[in-house]
Amino acid sequence: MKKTWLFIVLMSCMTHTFAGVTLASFADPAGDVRLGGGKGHSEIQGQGNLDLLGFRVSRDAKGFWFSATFKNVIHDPKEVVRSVSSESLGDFARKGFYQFNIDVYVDMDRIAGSGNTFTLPGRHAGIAPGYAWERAVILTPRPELMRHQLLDGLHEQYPDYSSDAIATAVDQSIIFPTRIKVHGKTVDFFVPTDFFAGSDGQNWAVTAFVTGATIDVPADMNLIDAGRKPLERLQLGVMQQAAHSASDVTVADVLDGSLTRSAPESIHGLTGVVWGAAAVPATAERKVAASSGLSIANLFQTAPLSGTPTLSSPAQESVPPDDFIAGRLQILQQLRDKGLIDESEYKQQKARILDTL
Amino acid sequence: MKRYTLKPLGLAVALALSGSASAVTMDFSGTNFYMKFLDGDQRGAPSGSIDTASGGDQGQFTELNLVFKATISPKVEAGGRIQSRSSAAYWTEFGGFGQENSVGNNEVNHQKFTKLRGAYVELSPGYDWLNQVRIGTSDWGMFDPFTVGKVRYIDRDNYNGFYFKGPMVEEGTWEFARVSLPTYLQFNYGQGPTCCSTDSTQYNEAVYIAQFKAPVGAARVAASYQTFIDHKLGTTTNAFLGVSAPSFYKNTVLALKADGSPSDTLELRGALYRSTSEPSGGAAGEMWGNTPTGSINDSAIKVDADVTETPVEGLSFNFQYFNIGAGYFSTAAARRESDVLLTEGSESAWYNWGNPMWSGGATSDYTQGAASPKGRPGVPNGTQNGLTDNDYMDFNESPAESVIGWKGLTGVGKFDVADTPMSLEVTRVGYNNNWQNYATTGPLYNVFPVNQDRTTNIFVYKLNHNFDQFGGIDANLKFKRVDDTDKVSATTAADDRAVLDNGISASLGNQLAPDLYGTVSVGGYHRRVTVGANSFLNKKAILGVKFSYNLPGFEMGLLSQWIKGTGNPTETVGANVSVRQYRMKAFAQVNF
Repeated sequence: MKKTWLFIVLMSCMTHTFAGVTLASFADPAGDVRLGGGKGHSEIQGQGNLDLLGFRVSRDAKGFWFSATFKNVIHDPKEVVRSVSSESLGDFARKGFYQFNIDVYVDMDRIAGSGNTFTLPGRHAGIAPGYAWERAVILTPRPELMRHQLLDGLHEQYPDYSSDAIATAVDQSIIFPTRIKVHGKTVDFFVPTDFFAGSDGQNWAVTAFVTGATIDVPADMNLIDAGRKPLERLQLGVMQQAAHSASDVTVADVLDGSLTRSAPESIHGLTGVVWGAAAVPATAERKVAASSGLSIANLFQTAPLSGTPTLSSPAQESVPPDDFIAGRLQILQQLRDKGLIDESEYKQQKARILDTL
Repeated sequence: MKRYTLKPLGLAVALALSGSASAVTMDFSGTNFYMKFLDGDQRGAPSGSIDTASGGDQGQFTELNLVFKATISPKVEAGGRIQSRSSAAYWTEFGGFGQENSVGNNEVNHQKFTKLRGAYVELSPGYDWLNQVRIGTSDWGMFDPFTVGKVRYIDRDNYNGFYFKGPMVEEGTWEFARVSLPTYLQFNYGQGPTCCSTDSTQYNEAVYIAQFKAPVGAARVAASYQTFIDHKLGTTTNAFLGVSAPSFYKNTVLALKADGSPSDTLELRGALYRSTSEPSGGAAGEMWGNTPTGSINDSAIKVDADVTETPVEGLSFNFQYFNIGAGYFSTAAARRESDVLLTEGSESAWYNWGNPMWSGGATSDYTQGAASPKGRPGVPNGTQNGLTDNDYMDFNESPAESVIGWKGLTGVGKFDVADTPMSLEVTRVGYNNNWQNYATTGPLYNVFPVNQDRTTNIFVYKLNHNFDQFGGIDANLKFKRVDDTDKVSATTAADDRAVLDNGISASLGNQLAPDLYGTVSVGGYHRRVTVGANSFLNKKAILGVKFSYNLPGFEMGLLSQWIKGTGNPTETVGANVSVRQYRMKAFAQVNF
């Protein structure tokens, strides 16, 4: 036992060597988790496992570290047995966590409206033009699988594009980190420098939010074909709201709390945090060169995601087809006529759909 | 990506329903096909169910688990689960004719029977005082492992009951449930006060539990009270007046819990449980029953302190004090599904050892300790059922241990050195059933040995590191030492028993391809067993190769192990044997 305690003392004297320089660090209010009626969300919410308390961005010689701290200790999937078999969840979720995703949308050039304002499938959210992003870092329990699923969904929606072109477009702008460390209530995830096109990270704006994660890929079991395109059906690892829920909001906690219960429509214009120099005018020269060939903006511009406003830049503006809008309005009317939603919910959703015009 | 679309089937279902059926949303999440492949050089056919715990290592089978949930309206949801229980239904069998008293292919448990595992209705009426009502099946994981515990996955949804939940003031909640108990959890396996009579009231036996949760200042408190009363048929002289049902057994559990954070870096949790177990009216518990054979009251206490941040960056501590009375008993407590203590316990130091040989049966691993109520050589009363359930397991699963009677301390330190997370656990376990000459008429005679004087020390060190080379290599190292001594009878030195386990294992994992992850592991394990004046050394090495392959919606895993060693499993002087074994388990599953 003496040797054991000596070992402990020696270990405790060795300091943790965290690589690099801290670029920015933010606190997020506790208890500001915003969840809907999904029962899966309720189980997680009861434990406060989606409540983001802090966020930090650091840089070392090889790349950038993002750190997110939650209210509760992050649950280890190795301690969970899947309900469908006797296999440990850790065999599938190998990164040390399984209950959440963290989306980080990075506005690198700080030029209002110069980037993208959509979020990935399954999020049903949008980014305010002032925080339009060039790069997205998506932390998810199964990064390889989610990337694969996104590529499959894009290929299904755009069969005319080659798989390589789609993969290149995605990988230029979206990364699913695989180098991840979980310790206590904090998860650190790493992104190589190359992904940010040489940016030093000194003047970024970041919109980050937490969603509940689902490990499995759900089948599309809708009995009614609502004309949804593949990307619109894609959940991409995000736990969705229960059917008949008045809202399809899946975002649980936004860094710096820009999503409020009193203004649910703010989900379509999420704001984030900034550091460094002030934002530059929209007319300023773009520091982040537009990609040649197929870009992520091209892939998402013809299929607006759950009413996401169209982009301000004419080159990226997208208008959904009229018949698509009409179809959604008809379905909404049917739901009201059958008493599945009340009048106020009908008006609210109708306004959202019409916003996409 | 090919999505699973069921539009033709869905349309047929929609048409078959009434005119408002299109308002119903059907959800099949959780549905899966599960296939298992077993191979090994023991050439043993599993009995009863295709798993290695029964001693077998052969066979392939498929299991279908159909889960459906219909959201009929915002306030009404219904669902169910239909599952083909694996049983011993090999691909090489047609499924036979399911005849009673048949053997082999025609044996009943070789049939691919599909079973209604459960069905439920869940209401969200939206009243001020009532949020949720569930009628039917559930896994009953909403309470506490020490009171009403989560049901094991193979039994999940087989427990029926009623569940109500509503709000209380100040963001509190109240819950009430009535859980119908299967006979194996009732007194004397549901056979009445004495064996083996007919307990005609068993069809209405249930556990009733009420639970309250509320914030109190910065803390959160919870309290629950549960009761189970077993009844027997009374006598009647006039059938027109009905038949009485007097009780002959009662089990109650009171639980009080609290947790809170006195500071940003300290979290505290405490739990106190008090149980009573009281047969009455001449009820006599059998040795093979799951309940104490006589009246006994006892308590269980757990206190946790988590230091999440220290002056040393990356260093955190968890401490736990636990004291679970030998006589603590709850009829519906968790028997496997829940990890109730911080410590890893004694398993896996001697990785999945099989007894008497190397068949890898997990049930045998349950008895790894120096002294255990079940399976220890020479224990005359070691025939009662285990307090945990290790049936239907495979060699890659960790067996569960009962913690009834455990008391002690656990400390776990976690730290990060040079991007290498490490953890160190030190645990000291004593036992509340350390006693001498326990009476054969005692209420716990069916659970614990007559004589015991035992302590267990557990030491676990783990680390992992991710290397950047070759696209990322995940390296893991684990060392575990379990020192278990039991003097058994204080007057007899010959029965003194000590078991010292040392196991070290290392693994390297790599994402070999976008959809394929591979792991190689090696482990060396020593177990020295000292019984009286005799000492037996068992050694084995295990080489393992593991692959995980997945596509969206599809998972496949394969684990192969090669074992080599020497040992003396029967603990007989001069009876060392050399053993080599190969075993493999693969599975494939499609998740909806």
